[in-house]
Amino acid sequence: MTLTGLTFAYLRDRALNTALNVLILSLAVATLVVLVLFSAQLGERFTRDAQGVDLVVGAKGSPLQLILSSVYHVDVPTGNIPLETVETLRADPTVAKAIPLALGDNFRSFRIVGTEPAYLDHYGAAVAQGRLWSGPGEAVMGAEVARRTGAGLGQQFVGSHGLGGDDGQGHDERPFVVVGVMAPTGSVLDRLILTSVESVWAVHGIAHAAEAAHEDHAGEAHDEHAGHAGEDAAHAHEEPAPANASQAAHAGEPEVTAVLVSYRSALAAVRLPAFINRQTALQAAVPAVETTRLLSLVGVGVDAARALAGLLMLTGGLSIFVALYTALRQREADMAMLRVMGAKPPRSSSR
Amino acid sequence: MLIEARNLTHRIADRQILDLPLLQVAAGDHHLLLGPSGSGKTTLINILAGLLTPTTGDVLIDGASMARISPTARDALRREKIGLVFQTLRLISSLTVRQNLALAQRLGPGPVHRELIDRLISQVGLAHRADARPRELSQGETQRAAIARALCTQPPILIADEPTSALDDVNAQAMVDLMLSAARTTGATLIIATHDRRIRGRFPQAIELKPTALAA
Ligand SMILES: Nc1ncnc2c1ncn2[C@@H]1O[C@H](COP(=O)(O)OP(=O)(O)O)[C@@H](O)[C@H]1O
Ligand SMILES: [Mg+2]
Repeated sequence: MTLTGLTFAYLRDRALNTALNVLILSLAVATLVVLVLFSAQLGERFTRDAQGVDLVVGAKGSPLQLILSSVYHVDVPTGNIPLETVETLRADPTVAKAIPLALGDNFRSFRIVGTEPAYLDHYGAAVAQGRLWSGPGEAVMGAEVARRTGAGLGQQFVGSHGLGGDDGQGHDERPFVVVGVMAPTGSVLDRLILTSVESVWAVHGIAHAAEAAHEDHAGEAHDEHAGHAGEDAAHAHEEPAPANASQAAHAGEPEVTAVLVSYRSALAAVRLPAFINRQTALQAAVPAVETTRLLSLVGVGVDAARALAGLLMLTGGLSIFVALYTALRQREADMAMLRVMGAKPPRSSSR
Repeated sequence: MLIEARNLTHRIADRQILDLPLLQVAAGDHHLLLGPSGSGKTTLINILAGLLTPTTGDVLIDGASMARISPTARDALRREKIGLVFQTLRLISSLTVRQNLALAQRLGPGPVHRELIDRLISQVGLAHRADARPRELSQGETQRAAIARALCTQPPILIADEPTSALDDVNAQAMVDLMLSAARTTGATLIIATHDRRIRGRFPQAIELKPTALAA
């Protein structure tokens, strides 16, 4: 029996006490670690998804909503804008890249995004299996979509109206077919299904024609139509609640939901947003600005949680201190006895 | 003289609780320390063991002045020379009887001697309780365990404070026998504080402490 043995005997004697104290402190540390990881990951994710996107052009509305819907794919879009906006932007010499996005449908809550291959290039995404879309109805799935839905190459699926959930009405007549699956990128693309803008148009063109024939349920199906791009003039007047004014105004013309813009020169940052915002139907939002705004909002929550974790740490520390103090008081007699038996007092104590 | 003390007095809050003009104990002597409860027996033992500094006077152990040496040297001297059975026993509650003895040997000056531990445990009649913890023992069993612990380091001086207070007649005699025979075997000096009449006749020499109710 040594002093080390005695220490373990003490711990074993109060095994539950010891275990609970260790548990409290581990919980506090774990909370803090999770929190730090969470806020780091949140920031990282926000920056990664917005990387290289200098400006987002979409329908008028909340700029934060525009960024959230078209860069992070979380909120519903503000509305649609005419396709010619893309051409106008591309014609601008200060613009390096203008990538159109057409939103409107989902497959098992994963958004179907009509876009161009440049969207993949922007995030450095590559097709891991199969190929890129080429014809109508062909789609490429993000890595996480493929994993979670279990869909593989050649799989057919139909999109549902709206951007989340499967409660919307399906486009049974126009199934998509998976022709490719992307390699994981760690970006928002992992959770998207990409296809051509034309395919999104086509789905809605047909779908709306079909709905026109069954007006009884056309209304509810279109309630959540935030971003479909319809070519069919016939459906425009019976749209019960068009998501935005531009949709009605431009009914029958091809539309997109938003355009992601990368500048060629810094000059664009000065001129372009102001130029776009002057146009009645358009809005330009800067991801960096909106992300900072959002993070500062989220940051309040993170700070509160961090304070809570700090409090938990303090509680854990205090409870361990109390336990140690009590144990020490209980063992004062033991300490005295150990000393009588010849144990050396701690070096630091001097009388 | 192995132990010598002169003019020992101790006061606590102006109350004199010990007054002993002379104490002399030769090596190998067996002394009883007698006196009614409250006469200062425990106080004297603590002073002899260097655990308490007397108000006046000094204790010499083997010629070394307890008052003059450093606390560390006092601890070392106690470790080398003195085995104690406290009135309050002070077994370590998280350890079994056997572990208490093993720890004492480990901390003490001598070698670790397992056979001695086993022999002492059975001599104090605790062979069947060797792996019990102090809280599982009766007062008498605890007292016997404390005696075994003091003996297991084979100290040159063994001081026991009322070691038979909780023992029945048979056990009281057996423990006195054990301490006397251990002391004879190793040539140790023995001081047993007691007010137990049952063991008075066993000791030729006695130090008498009178109740010191004198206010100063
Ligand atoms: N720390 C102390 N504080 C106050 N009084 C004490 C203290 N220690 C002992 N005494 C008193 O000193 C007297 C002698 O005590 P003690 O040496 O324990 O006697 P004994 O062991 O002979 O019964 C008692 O009256 C006791 O109350
Ligand atoms: Mg006493």
